[in-house]
Amino acid sequence: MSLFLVVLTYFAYVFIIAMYVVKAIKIARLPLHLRWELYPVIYEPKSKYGSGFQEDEKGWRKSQGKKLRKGILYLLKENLRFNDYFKSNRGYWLVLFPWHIGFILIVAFHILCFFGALVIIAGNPVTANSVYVIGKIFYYCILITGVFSFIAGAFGSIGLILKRQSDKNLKAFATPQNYFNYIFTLIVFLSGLYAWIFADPTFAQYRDFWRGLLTLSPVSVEPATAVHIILFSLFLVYLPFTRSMHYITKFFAFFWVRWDDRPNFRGSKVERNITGLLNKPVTWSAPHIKSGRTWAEITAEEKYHEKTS
Amino acid sequence: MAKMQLAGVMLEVDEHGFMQETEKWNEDIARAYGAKEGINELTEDHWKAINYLRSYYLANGICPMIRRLIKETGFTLKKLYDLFPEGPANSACKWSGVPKATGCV
Amino acid sequence: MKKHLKLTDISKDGDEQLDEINIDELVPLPPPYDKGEELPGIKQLTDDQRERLVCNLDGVVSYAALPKPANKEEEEKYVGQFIAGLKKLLSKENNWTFLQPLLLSIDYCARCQTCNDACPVYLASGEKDFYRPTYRSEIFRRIINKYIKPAGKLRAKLGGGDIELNWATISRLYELSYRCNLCRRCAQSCPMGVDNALITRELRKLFSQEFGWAPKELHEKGTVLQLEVGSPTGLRPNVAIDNLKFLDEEFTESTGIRVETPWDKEGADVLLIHSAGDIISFPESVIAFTILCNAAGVNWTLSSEVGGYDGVNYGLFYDDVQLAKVAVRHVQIARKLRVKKIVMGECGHEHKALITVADRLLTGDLIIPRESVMTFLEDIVFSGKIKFDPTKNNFPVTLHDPCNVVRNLGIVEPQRRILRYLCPQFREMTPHGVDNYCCGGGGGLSVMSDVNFTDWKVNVSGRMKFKQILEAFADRLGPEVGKYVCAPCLNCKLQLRDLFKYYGAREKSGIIYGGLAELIVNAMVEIKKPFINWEEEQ
Ligand code: SF4
Ligand code: SF4
Repeated sequence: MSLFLVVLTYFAYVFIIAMYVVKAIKIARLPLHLRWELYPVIYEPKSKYGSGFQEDEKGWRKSQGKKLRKGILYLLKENLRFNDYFKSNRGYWLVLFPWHIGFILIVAFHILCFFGALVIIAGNPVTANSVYVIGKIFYYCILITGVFSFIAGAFGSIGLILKRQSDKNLKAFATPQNYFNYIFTLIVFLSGLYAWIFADPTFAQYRDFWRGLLTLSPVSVEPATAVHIILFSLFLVYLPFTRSMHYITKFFAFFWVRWDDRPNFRGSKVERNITGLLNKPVTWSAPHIKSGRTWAEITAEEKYHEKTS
Repeated sequence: MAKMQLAGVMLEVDEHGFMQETEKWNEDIARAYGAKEGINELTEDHWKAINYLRSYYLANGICPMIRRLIKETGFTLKKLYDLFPEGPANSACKWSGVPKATGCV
Repeated sequence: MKKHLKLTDISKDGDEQLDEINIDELVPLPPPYDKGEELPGIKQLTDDQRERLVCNLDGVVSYAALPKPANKEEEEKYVGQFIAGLKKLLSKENNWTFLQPLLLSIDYCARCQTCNDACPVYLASGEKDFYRPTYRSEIFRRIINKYIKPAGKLRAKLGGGDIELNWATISRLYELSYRCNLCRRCAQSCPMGVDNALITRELRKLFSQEFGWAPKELHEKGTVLQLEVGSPTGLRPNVAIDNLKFLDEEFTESTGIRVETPWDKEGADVLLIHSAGDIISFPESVIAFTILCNAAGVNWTLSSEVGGYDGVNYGLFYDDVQLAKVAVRHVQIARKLRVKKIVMGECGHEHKALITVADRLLTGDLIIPRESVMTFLEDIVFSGKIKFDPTKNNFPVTLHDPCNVVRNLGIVEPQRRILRYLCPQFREMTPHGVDNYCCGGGGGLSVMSDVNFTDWKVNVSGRMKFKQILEAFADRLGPEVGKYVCAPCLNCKLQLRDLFKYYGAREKSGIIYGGLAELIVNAMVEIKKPFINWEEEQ
């Protein structure tokens, strides 16, 4: 049993990371597209109301450097606060926010467990009365993130089920998969909560399990904890089949579409890219396209008649 | 394509009743259009506008600017609306048998 | 009673109208426009039209020529074509232009419906289900998942909400794709970065590029005519020159200063590309530019090449191939004239199409700088070369923000700096800038007028804008005070023309509309008579 848990956990982590990486690469490798940005572009100097680029071309070029940092900070903040929802859709935010906080914390919980295990392996016990400060810090952080995650997540899952059922607008667009997801996450969070209350009130077993995981010396845990570990692993394996990727694709959608204001200069990389793309063949069937030629041929062939006057 | 019977001829028209085959136009058709909009008698003033519109269209492939119409006929805009109930673009052009203007105008 | 539509309803009862628009369910307007019953509303189709036309969505028809399938085989053929089109939309060759944004919008919507509240069409309609930004996109998404993805059919069966692709679905999706202004307010409000306007446009592309179905005003009499004759208005080069000569003379006479528009001047600094519709319908705008450029000593020119005097590019609304052809034509002309830069006219979608979207269609010596008319005018106004007397503009003015200039291009302040300087009674609408409401004519709708489509534009899509305008002037709404809506975009002006005419805004409230250049010229000390014409024009 304990070996099974270790294998399953490893598998789950490898699987989810591999799936996400594959998906991300797929999106990243799509060809350059036409510009389609939407203002304000958060890292342009006049982003308060619009664009520094179109309004003031020269000034804009000077401030190129900070782009990435500004954008990532904005999105991370948004991922943590859900400000957009808070502003425009408060009722939904009330359940959506805890649900996502549940996820964020449960991820944090596992990351902390991972590092906590390293701390333990390094010889510093992680307990409430550990003589090492670092041990204490890990102890409390793991406890707090875990408990809050289970509670918030469970609350959010139930809330979302109710909200999707009661709100006509949401209901019309809901699919059985939505409800399945909510119930699944509810079970994951509740199993964690159950294990915490009845089997492992300080997460000592969980920390131990992680230590075993890293040192490849499986430890046995109580059934309730084991159930949670199994459910969580299954959940990780399931995630790539949901829209959960939007946590990550959101960064792509913003950086590569909504804020993509990279201009095209002669001799630039963008220009080289376009030259290649214009040589792709077109096979659309409508008569006006006169298919079978490349994009470049179609646009260039339109030689305009000399003046008719 | 919609069809409409006017002055005894079956005409191809668009959904707003504008003729699609401008070469089939004749003066009776103009009168019939007028009658449909409650103008039973086309006066000299009507013909002045109609003839100008039509000849401009045939020469240039487009209806004249309102300003030109006003200048050429000497009518004010108000007068044009009196003559053609729906105004120059919707009545006068239609009665003259030219297609409805499109394309950002 | 409000009807609730399910997503799956789209494929049911192909000849039946899905729902109808009730005037009294629409968002109410302030008095004296609150009595909907005094207005004609949306014209019902005649029996003959119902017989001939496809009218199975909302009782409105935007494209009379949509061809009904004659029999089952033809319907099947359409289904096959639709699927073939979908595959092309998802291919790198045929749709590299928008593949990445499309996939990011298809796969990661959280179905939270936040975007609905941002949509002026949905809001104005009294929250009709089929006008939700998500309605057409979710159907589109489910069709892709079912018909394109592996094991899609099985998953659709198991997953529920299975959409059947048939004539009803296809024809309704066609019409639905033209019930959106592509204003991208929904996209801006989406926390995931999903762009429902983009999905709408992809749908239009599928219909145009695969079926050859597009509104005749946009395609046959739009881009096709522009590439052939020079302009969707049918204006030929010689007629364009002739018209401007006529206008130059007219305005020389009425303003008392010499007005002379330069044509085809090689090596000029600036090639100004107006929209030809301005020449025909709003000549004051075109002349205002001539006056300003000459007064400021700009070395500029117009072009009389085919397509060079009309900056519109309807391809932006429905077809990437046409978009590319028109954009390339515009820069080719500039290259031939050896100008330093192209300046857009007062036309929002020309801005969007040529400045940013087409930026990635140009290579080599076709990469020619392109500038917005807003910054161009700002430079002229603040150059110190022209004397202004702002008291000449002492009437209430508000600014309509064309979506393609603000939300889609980020140009927000230059036009405001001008107005704050030249119009003492300038006031903003709420909301404005990048959060503005579309005029209701966006996405090509303003030039579409088939069957009863105009009725829809004035009643539904333009409603939020009209409401906003009335609210901006609420302090002096009476007809005795002349008020000016500055709308620096030809398409917006056309939509406002229809709106104001329908509601009688000039008669009831003294509201007129016009461009930005006219306001600037109106404030020039040198122009003695008022340049803005408060009397009815068309
Ligand atoms: S498009 Fe965005 S805002 Fe709209 S439902 Fe999807 S995720 Fe929500
Ligand atoms: S683009 Fe504008 S009109 Fe279209 S769905 Fe979005 S908000 Fe509505």
